Amino acid sequence: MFRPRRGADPQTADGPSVESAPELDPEARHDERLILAAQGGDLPSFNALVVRHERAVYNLCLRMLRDVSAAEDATQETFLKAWTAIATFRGGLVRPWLLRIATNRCYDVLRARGRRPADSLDAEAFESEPAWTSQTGGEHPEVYAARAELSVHLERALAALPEDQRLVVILSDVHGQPYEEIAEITGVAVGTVKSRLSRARARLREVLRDDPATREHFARFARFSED
Amino acid sequence: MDERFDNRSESDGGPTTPHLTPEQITAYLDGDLTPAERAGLDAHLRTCPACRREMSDVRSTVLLLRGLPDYRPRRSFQLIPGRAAIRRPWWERVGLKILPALPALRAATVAVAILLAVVSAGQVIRDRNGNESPNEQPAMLSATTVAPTSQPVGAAASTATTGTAPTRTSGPVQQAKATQEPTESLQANAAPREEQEPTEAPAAAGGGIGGGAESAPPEPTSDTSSADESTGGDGAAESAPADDAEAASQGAAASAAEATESDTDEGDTDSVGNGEDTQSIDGRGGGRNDDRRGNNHRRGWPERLKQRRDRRHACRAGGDATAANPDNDTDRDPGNADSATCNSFSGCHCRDASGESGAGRARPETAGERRRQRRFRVADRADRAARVAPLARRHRGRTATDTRSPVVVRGAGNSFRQCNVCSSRNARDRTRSVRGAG
Repeated sequence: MFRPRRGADPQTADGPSVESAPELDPEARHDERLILAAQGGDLPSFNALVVRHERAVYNLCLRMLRDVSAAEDATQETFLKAWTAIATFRGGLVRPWLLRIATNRCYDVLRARGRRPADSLDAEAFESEPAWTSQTGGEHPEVYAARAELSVHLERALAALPEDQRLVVILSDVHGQPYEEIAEITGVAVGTVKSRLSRARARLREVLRDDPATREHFARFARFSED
Repeated sequence: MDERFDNRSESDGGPTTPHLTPEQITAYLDGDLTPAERAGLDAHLRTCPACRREMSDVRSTVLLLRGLPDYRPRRSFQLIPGRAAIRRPWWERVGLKILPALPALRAATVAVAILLAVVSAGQVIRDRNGNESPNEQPAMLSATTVAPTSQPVGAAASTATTGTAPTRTSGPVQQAKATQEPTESLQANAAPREEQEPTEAPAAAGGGIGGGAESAPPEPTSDTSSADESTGGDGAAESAPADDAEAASQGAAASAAEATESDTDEGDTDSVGNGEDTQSIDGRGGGRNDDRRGNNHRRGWPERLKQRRDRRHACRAGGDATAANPDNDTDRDPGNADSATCNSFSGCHCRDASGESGAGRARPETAGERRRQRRFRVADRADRAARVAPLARRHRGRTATDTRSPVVVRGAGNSFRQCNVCSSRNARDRTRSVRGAG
């Protein structure tokens, strides 16, 4: 069930949002065409890009800011900024570029909030309608139930992580970005990305395994995922 | 970090290589290893159940993370062609030019600039007026009280108020004021002495005294305390600075919830009246500036009127609903042919003449009333407070949070407009001309 994402073979990448081989990926090529047109001043092309990437940007902002309206504002500002700064796009993949803008915006907002960690710790699951990703389809109902139960706690554990670790683990494991892109998005070295990711995963694993509310579900889920 | 690293002794037949670090586990799961490294870790995992469990747990965690739901945005974030540029509020746009670096200070900068402009303009006006008429009181140096320069001395008081029409104020002051209170200015009237008549457009609310035409306006009885008389000014130029400054400082945010019928006399200490007009407390003098002065308000309700009002609005006063008897009303108010609708905002909306005393909201008869009620229903609290802020300022000594507006009371052949807060009845001619009532 579990396949390593960053293998030698780009075909091992899973998840619809992963763009592991930009040269071959038709999605990336489509993005490239759109952004070229947008750089020529074509707003509809840019809006097509918005439609393609708004959910990823919004989800990143939502998980970083833990607030629906703040995430909406940040997302809108991200695309506005992207539109005004579209001339500075120097090729490559569009989504990491957008996520980088969104990340900066989120950091601005978090800084403006005064970096109150209590806010995120106290944050309940935000009021938003979740849409399960396609990869959860077709699994055992019991696994699905365990996953649904654990997701709530996982979101809460994510919110409790330090911002740097949270950002890396969201970009890596939720959005499926490779190390190099994450390093570029966050502006740190790849080694730092790896160590932050390791610590974040270890912390999340600790919460899920040791929390009495999730221990049982997690054990069940781990048992099934072994098979 | 867990038991794997606590019992690293390898003497008990455990693994012969060190336990996996979190970085190694991450690299293993992400396929970020050379084949040789991977083989080494595999060898360790075969002999170390703790590391196997750890690996399994982290793998499950990553699987859960990858399977986290996407949250669907509530709206699209596509850019609208005409609005691809951010439209900032005007103070931010101005502030952006003044102070581009500090976004938090932009609005404050603009506010300070406006305040400075108003103060300096007021200073100039005061100097000029002081030269022309030494008796006249200085203009207010607040954003809401600006004295015009075009008024004759005798009429100056009627313009140096919060409700002064912006057309009478001078240049920069007018602009600053217009931007702050674009909707709250009173209409400019031909007769300056009538300017105090409250003409708030959304006068949706009627107070506890908005009943029959003849009954509601209280006569100047002996109950009207002597404080009223002693403080009753001549209503002219002494729209005293202390008065208005205090009133402005109270502002809409003042939260002293004072009941309308409270008998308190505070706020009357700054008496500047010379007593020449003190007899016409209710404005029977036909257009005195009682409202603005705030000194002439009836502080005490005569018991008789209180009872009558409570009876009239039985539902509101929580009293006996049956007391709202049409017979009683008509007995007391023989001239009340028109059924003046009680449109108190939180009140009963009963129609006095017909004796309907609905405990709930009765449907207003006229479209205008319905519109007004609808408007007020949707208006939130702050909106309402802003709407009636000038009113609250005028009625100094009353609560600034009193959201009731003046109500129009119409009677047969005796139309007048009565203030809900102070129950002053003035400008009886205006009503007819404005409302077309007769």
